[in-house]
Amino acid sequence: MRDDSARWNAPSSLDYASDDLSVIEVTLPSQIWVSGTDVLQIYKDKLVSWPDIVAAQNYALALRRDRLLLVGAAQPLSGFNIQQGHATSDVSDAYKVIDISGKRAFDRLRHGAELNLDKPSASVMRRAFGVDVLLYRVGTDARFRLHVPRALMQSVFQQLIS
Amino acid sequence: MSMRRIDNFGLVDRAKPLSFSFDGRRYRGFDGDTVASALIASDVRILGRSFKYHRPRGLWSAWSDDPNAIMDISQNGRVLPNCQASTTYLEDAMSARAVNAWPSAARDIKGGLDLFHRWLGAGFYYKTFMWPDWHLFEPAIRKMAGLGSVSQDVLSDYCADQTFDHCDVLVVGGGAAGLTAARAASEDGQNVCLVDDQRLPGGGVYQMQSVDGQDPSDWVADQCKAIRTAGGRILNQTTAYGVYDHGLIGLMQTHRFGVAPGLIRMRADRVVLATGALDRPITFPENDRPGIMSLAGSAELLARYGVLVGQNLAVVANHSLAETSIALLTRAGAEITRIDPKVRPFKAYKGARATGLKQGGHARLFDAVLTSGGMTPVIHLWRHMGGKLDWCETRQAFLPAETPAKMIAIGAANGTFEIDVALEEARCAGIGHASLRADTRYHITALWPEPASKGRQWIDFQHDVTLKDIEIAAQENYVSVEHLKRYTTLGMASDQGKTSNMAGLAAMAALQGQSIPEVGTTTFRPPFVPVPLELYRGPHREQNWHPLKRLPLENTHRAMGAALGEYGGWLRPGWYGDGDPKTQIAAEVRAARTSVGLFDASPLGKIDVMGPDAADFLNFIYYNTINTMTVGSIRYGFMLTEAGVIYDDGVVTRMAHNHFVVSCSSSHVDGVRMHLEAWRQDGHDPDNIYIHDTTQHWATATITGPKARHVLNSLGLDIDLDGAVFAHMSLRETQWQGTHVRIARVSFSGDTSFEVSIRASRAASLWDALVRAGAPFGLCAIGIEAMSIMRAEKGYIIIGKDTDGETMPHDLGFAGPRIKKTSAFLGDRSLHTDKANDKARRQLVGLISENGLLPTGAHIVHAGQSRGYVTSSYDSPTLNGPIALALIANGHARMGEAVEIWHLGETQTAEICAPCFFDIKGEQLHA
Amino acid sequence: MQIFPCPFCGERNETEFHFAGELGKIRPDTTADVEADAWARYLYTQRNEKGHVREVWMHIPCAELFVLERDSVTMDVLGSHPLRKPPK
Repeated sequence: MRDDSARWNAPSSLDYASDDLSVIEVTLPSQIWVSGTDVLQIYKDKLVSWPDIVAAQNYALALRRDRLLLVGAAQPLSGFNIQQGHATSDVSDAYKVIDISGKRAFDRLRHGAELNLDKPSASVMRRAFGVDVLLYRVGTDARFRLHVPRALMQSVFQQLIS
Repeated sequence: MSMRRIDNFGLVDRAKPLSFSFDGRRYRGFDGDTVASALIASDVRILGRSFKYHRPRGLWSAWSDDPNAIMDISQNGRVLPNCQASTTYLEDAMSARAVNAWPSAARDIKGGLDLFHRWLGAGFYYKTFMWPDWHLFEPAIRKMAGLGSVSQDVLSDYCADQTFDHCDVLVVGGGAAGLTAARAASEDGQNVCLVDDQRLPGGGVYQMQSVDGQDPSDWVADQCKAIRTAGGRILNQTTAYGVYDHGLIGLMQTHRFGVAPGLIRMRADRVVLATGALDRPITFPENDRPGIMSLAGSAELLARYGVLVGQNLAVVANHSLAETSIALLTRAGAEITRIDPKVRPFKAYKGARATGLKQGGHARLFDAVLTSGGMTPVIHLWRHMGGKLDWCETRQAFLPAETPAKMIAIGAANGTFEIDVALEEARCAGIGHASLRADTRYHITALWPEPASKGRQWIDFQHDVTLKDIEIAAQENYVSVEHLKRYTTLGMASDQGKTSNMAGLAAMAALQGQSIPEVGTTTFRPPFVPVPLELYRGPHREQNWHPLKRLPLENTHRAMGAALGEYGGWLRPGWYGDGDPKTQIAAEVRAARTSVGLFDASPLGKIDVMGPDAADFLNFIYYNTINTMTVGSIRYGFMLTEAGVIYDDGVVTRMAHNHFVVSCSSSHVDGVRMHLEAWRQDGHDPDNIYIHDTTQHWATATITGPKARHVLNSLGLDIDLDGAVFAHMSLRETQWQGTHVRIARVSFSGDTSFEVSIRASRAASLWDALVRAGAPFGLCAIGIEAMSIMRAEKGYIIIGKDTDGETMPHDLGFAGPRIKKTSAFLGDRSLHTDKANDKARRQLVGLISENGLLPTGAHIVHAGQSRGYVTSSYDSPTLNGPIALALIANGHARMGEAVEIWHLGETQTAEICAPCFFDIKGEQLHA
Repeated sequence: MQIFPCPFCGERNETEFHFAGELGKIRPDTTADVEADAWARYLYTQRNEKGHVREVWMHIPCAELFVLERDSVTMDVLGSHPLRKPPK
């Protein structure tokens, strides 16, 4: 029983800019988990893994052998669809999302994870800065998008810009 | 300025003089000097004291192999202990002090300890301080021992940067071989990283007159330029200090004084080891005298720093490479007297500001005696990697044997001592060819310690291990080199045996009548050089050491004056307001009990379990029966480990026929998710069960108390909140201002409660609406401290607080499924072991005390033995008196019994009662 | 830091993995009688082998539970495959 309010920085804006590093918060229209044995197959045209570069507004992030995260899709009902065999949950607010760019972007990310652009991975999930995150690229080869579980975004952001 | 500095030699910048002090006296050096080179240039002979006998120590060598000159150094108020003077670059206004010496290295008052050396040999402390108890002597001995002293001041911004990196080829060492290999590899199109531990790469090339027909400095500059042009990287002042699992290489990048070094965790497809070789000492009587130093080290002092250690020099060497060093020293104007080390006896003695040598009855004084007993390839990283060694009789050294995967040694590290051969070998290694060890022109006469010879002959200069100590160890059967090391502390000084190991194991070999390879080496372990602990801590400090999870409503709570604290990995409001916490918390409890409280329950787990097999799966996971639940109903249950012990408690909601939400403890969500995933994939059909942990998508506001329904009614939701319709332990889903909300009628406070969950981005709107709606009813925001009291009043447990690593559900009074549940479930068999059936199990009960608050953790004692302990204890604002929960042996059968409570030597009595103090009939809960 | 191969994601740093037990433990059918000894063996007995071992690990970010074969002496990774039945 102790008041530790002052020991922890209050959650701040997730925007940061310097000469060689820029971080901006991104608000995605929706984020939806879809699980099922065939989901990777069904969404294979929209599927994003590491180190893919996303160009579209709607895409599907490969997470596991039987799960993906639909970004920007219309929101179906959460629950289990018996016909398709798909389980769906709306997690639009479960992840906070930032875009990281600038000359130091990849270097800063490598402070938190053993990353290698030459080593593809079937999943965009990985552990970075001690947290299970989603990491891929958008638009250009030097702009990284990071989905971080909401409750730990403050910590990841602080480590990223320090 | 200095008698020892030679014009036209060295790389220091003579246009940039620097001033510093050592042991209180002022000196000057140049930019590019190390602290050690500047002191030698200033003719300082004694730079330190040995660890045990406090013998005076001069500089042995010019870089990281020097075991002698260890200093506490400060600059601008920043103090770093135990710096190696030979590797610390000089900066202006530095102040250095020799460790283990007072008032100075030159006049150390403990120097007299040396007089007792006869009694202080190997094993002295082990043998002497056994009786009556080592711990009696330990404080005084520890006070005498030790090296530098740590400053009391915290270096506020001393924080190591840590990062991962990757390259195709990592070249370790920027000498002639390393530069050549790095150039060949990068020009071959490979992604190359060359690391060199000095400020200027080049290794020993500056000792040469020319390399490949070029001036050494020009040659180094050309190689560096070529490497960079081809896209290679060169990291200066960077030491590869260890190879770890699966070839991860630790690189320590040092910066200017007082700045924490950086850690690079380097992953390389291939490592080229070009780490060179070290000069080793010759073992003869009094060979530790100041002024006796490494021949190669003295050449390096001249080549890099323009410092000549003396005019009148003796050289004692046994191999052909000594000629290069002698030629260099001669060019600088030194007069060299060669001493044949094979002509024994010879010994050193102390002369005034000079070093004496006696050989064959002749005594002579020299400015310095330069010794070289042969070259030892630096194969530390090779051994870290698991590479084998071969003994080379021609070179009298251990050399890399069969190549471990991904690593190749070249140049002097591979025993290739001739520059032309080394350059060709390096070019081949650079483009990925194997190294072929060529015949060598190097020749050496074997020269090793001779046991039973007279005099004090030093093996380990820093730790004062002499040949005699090794003889004692052998005599007492510490003959394995690993035992020898630990018994004598040979090679355990801060240089980790760089100078001493070879002589030590050669001595043991001679004593055992074995060859050196038969005796073998001790294990090489990282780090190659001392590494500050800060390197490993890095950013894992303060808020980043154990980052807490943050609530969507944290800033709302802060604005309301919340006292935030850690509760189960989350930063949560403990209470609100800045008055006396106890008063605030009691007021929150009273408000929630009499009108209505508003509590942020967002961290509560919300794990979707879906699919055709979801019901049967959860029925297996839970102690309680789950598959009979109706849609919309909520059930309280326990998850057990296979040992039958309670792992988590919480409620399960059946959202639909094949959709459940597991609401586990706030602190347990990550663990429960992994627990569920493991059982899903191991033992069940993962294609029929899906687990989505959506906890952080949601925020949950709990409204609790007699007026809870009134507040919720004011939100204008489209559901009937009447207690008869919306019963305790059921769920409704609806919309609030266009946003989907889940309303669960569950209670942790014991009062009528509603948990309203909404997506996190809408949490603040909902919270504000509830605060406004609650104002007319006296709504009070309550923190987790108030909630903890209320749940204890009701007798609701907190996992890990009111349970421990042995608690089973029947200990808490939940015995039904243990007897009745017929289908298999986790931990089922463990609930019927002898231990589980034991009558004396500790069971959850309440305690009433006449004498005030019982201390949490206090033991219930009987006949001097603990029979359990108090798990929760509070001053209940509702009951106006103390309440407590406890786990007590056979407690359920002992209602009304008086028990003795022991805490910190005091005893008091309390009476066992049922673990429920509030709303015993459940009328308020179900209202 | 070791590198382990997740059968789905590929090679990742060891900090992403969690040891889940030795391979080959079969849970006794607890709807029938299970001898105390058999249950104790299931709970507590480990083979703890030297050399080639087969273990169950979880890749935490993607939650894949898989069989990792490795050498407990040299730390070499010898292979990995999913624990679950092969995909349909």
